[in-house]
Amino acid sequence: MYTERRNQREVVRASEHALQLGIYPHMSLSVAHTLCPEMISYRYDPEAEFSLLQKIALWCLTISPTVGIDSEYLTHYLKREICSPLFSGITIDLSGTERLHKGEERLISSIEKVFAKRGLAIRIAISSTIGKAWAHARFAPRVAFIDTSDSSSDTLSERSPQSTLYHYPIAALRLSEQLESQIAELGIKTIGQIFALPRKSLLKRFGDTLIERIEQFEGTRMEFIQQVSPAPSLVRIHNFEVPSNSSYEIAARAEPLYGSLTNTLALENKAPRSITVLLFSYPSQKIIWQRELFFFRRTTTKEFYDLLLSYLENNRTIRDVCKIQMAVLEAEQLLNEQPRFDGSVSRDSDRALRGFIGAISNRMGRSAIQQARVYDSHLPEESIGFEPIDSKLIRSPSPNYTIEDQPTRPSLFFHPGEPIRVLALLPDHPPKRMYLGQQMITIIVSFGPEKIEEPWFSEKQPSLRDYFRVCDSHGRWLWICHHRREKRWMLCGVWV
Amino acid sequence: MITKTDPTSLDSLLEQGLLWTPTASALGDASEWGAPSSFVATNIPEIDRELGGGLQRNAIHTFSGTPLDTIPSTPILLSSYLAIQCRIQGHDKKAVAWIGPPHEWPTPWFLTQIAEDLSPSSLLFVQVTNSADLLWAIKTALSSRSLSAIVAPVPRLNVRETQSLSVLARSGGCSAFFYRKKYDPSPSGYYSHWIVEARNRENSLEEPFRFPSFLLSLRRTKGKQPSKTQWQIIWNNRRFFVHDSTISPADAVPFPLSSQPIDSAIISRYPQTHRSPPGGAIDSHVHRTA
Repeated sequence: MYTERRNQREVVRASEHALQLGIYPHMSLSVAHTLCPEMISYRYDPEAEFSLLQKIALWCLTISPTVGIDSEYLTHYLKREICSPLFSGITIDLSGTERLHKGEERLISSIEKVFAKRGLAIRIAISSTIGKAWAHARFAPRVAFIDTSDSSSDTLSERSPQSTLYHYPIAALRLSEQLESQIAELGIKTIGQIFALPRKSLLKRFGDTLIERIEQFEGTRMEFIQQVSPAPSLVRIHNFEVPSNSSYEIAARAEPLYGSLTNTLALENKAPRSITVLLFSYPSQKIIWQRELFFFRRTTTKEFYDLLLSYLENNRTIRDVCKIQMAVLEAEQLLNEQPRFDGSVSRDSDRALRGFIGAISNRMGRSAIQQARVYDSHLPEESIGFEPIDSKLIRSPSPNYTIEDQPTRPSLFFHPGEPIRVLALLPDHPPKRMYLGQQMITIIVSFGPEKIEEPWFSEKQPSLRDYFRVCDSHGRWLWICHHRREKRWMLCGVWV
Repeated sequence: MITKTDPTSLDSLLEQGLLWTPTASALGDASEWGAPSSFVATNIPEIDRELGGGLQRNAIHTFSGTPLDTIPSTPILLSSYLAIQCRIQGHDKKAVAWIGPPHEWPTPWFLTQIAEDLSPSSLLFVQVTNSADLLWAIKTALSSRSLSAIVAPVPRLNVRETQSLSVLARSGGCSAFFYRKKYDPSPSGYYSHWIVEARNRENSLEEPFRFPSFLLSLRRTKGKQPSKTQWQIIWNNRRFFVHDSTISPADAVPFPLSSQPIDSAIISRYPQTHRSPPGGAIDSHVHRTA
């Protein structure tokens, strides 16, 4: 994986195989390609990496209630900096869970199996302090390592050349790259060497950071785990005491579930955008009805009830419903609104509009209802567009676009346009006659050409276009385009 | 109890539509004061005068084009213009919806020309791919009470169904402007039928040919016999007006190049050349068939 720094692509993450080939972080991507021409590279996405770590951390809550993403990684992520791949990891506090897991070996092997099943390679270590576990997980000779050394002799172990820790590089102390290079300049390469030096001189030369790391390593200084907490559950279930055939009853039971979900989301000033409703039948417990419902902004429970009932009423297959399950698939962030005098947030017309948008979205899909957008581009097809409606869009101010700034553009626009055949008296001149299918159109007046070129940096070869505004013998004003490179003509628009 | 003749309650008179008599002269004032008006002024004085104030609000109007068009562009754009007028003149500022395939939606360029300060949130575009969904979407829109106007292609319906659509439009407080390629003389429940015809210019190059223009006539309307008048409507990139009316094309905003005399062979400016080719710009030409 690479990122761009100072107009140069730089490797930030490399697979084990790539590391074996000599490709390492901070290397230029072009050099990496030279080393391994068949290498596949992707742009590094810090959000995706963080999201994956968070997901893994949340899963790890099944092992212990105290789980956190490594603090060094979080610090870099919050500062929008790219940290070394060594720092991306998860810390789990296993204190008091020994009996639950029936042995550390068993725990490690079960974790390895889970990740191997998902195709993820991990390194894992268990030790008496976070610092040691961190070092073992990164630098131990084995993928899974359990530090069995006695805690009372821990402080001595790293000083003994027979110890595994003695030979770990100084990076195992979780130091910044700058501090690491400063220490390396003195010829100190391993943890054992650094532990042999007097602390006072280390403090004087490198400051408290190194001492803090050493003490955290030894377990003499306290260290906190920045614990991850699971997101509130956005699934609600209602079990019927007696299976129901009544669509009214089902809708009435589903209504408070929806209310509960909206209340949970409202704590974060969010509202459901789409919800899936599942109905299970008795006694097979199979799904007999499933529907994704779309909402727009704050849909009330009453509106939800009406919407759900409209689907259930005409459905005769819904019988013996024993369970309703409802889950939020997507939520949208709401903007703060000034409440009205009566305490409500939206007007009646807003409510009606919400109902209309919801009805259209639920029948024809979310992309069926759109809004017009204007963008800053000289290419006609990129300067306007229609996009599915969302709350951010509906609040955005109209673009700052005045008639005076506006180039002459058609009232109806076709992209990529209808192919036409033309007859022109001279090359590069506007046509005198054009054929749209079988229809012959005589042109009496034409304006142009308006020359528009695609940007030179576009991936494909930029096309050269000449646009003409022509009036035909029936008084229609048409916008036609000559793609000079491709040597084809298109009808791109019509005026009133 | 409030009766219709009770002079003490202005609100009730407003609700009953008795306080503001929709006449051509009173229309402007009425809409300014937020009074319910039963007409939508087209802002084309000749047509508003003929119709006694404008088009009936909360009713269905159809616009038919010339069959030679692949897409009935002028009926679509005229309908769009009137739908936006509905929103501008309505006091509740509800949204406007276009229902149909995307290639029949007017461009934001056109919409900006009609109403520069119109918020994009008030313009909705509903993409419909089949006729069953089209009719359903039209009915939903008309009965939603959230829209001031809709623009859609004419659905294929019998008289009874067109009448039910008209009832929905009236009860839902939504005007509908339907467009089609060709005029259909069969009976329907729609309020008015308009025909848009292209002007044949094969042998007439008189001014103002530089503006898009067309002929508009009212073929049928409810409650009265339409006049035989045919208006030559001109679009000047900002508004529609009738040719030979008090507004001359010279006062109107022309196409950017049209301020130049048309007979001049070469226009030396290149106002719309975004990137000149290597070796200098190519002249923009105005060509005219002799």
